[in-house]
Amino acid sequence: MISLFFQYVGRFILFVLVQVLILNNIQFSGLINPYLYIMFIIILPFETPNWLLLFTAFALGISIDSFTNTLGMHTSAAVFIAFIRPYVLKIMAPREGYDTGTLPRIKFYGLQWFIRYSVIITVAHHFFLFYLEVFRLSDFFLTFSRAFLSSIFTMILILITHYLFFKTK
Amino acid sequence: MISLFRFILKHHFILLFVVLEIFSFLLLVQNNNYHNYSIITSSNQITGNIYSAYNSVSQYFSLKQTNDVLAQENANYKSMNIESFVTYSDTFRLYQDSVRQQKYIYIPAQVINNSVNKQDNYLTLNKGAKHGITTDMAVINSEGVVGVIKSVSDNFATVISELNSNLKVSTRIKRNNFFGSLRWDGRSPKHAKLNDIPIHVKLTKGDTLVTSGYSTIFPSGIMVGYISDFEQSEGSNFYDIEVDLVTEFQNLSKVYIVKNLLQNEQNELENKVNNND
Repeated sequence: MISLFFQYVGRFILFVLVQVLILNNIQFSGLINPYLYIMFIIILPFETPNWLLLFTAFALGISIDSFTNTLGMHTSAAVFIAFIRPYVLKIMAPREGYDTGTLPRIKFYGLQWFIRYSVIITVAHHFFLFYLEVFRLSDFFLTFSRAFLSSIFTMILILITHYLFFKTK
Repeated sequence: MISLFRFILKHHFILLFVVLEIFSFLLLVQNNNYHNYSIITSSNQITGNIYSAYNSVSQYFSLKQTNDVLAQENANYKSMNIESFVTYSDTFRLYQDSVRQQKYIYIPAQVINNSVNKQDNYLTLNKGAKHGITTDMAVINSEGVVGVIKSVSDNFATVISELNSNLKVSTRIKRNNFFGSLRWDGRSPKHAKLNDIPIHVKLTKGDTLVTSGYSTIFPSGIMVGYISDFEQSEGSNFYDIEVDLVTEFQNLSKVYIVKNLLQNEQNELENKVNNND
């Protein structure tokens, strides 16, 4: 239990550092910015209590924000996806429910299930974030394409990370 | 009372979500004010130290380019040196120091964090209050305008980049001195918009834009960019001008912070006028 706790704390720090030091520097024509850090929320165990989910997302968001000078932006987006996660999981549940001891990974529920699940979370996060970011500007379609392209990019990164660092078989 | 607790317990997930979300929106709104001091910015000690450690490695990758820019700048200064001039006249002129008073001081700094792909971009510099940096100082590099200091800690400073919708830079057309305000429209890190130029002014594509020097922040005549396109929007008395920015924001490294020694004096005087109105 304790080692599991430290494992997740380690992942938390790693996701934040990778995000702010590497991914935030990726600049494709100023349009696309992948946000891999939300994968941390995606891969949390099914049994995570809801309140802990919200607080974790809050801590994650505010860590990212403090690096990017956007206080409140990533925080609210991360809290938002933590809020919708239990409902998404409920809708996506297999007929007999989630087995105890399994995690939301490809290994347990297959690639198709994982893609559907993380696409919903990613798209929700990106659209929330990008529209919050432009709040004052009125470029609806530009923002739409930014959120859309970044979502695709983030999804690809999530899958690559999953295949590289987690067992899939 | 018990039923209240039961209600809270039953709906704790949604209630907690609403509370956290309201809190983060408050942070967002409060942080958006142009010049407020916020505790968590990247000039904060932990994030600043992580960024400067990372930067001490990543600097090496752009070393060659940085050297080229510095060499170019040295060449410029060398050509301004007194030894590069031939004396034409035999008469000597003596300049009294009392004629001139120094107005601007330039402090070199290194960019340790930068972004160009947000709507509101910020930079972090490795100089802070210890080096005499305060808010409202201009930041430029050898190419042109970069931004304005937003907040400082002991060792670091954050800068509102010109690629930030909150920053307006007073800009004039070098050829005829008409001035307007330059604002980034959030589309591309190479372009911005110039507003407030009335339609009776004759423009040509490629006109040079420099800072006006009317604000107390930027010195006059710092390069901003070139007019790449302009059109007269319908029903408006002002041009809609597209500007090519000269500063390469995507590989900023060495910058200069400009300290205006007479800033307070000018601001005080101008405020006095405004208050009397």
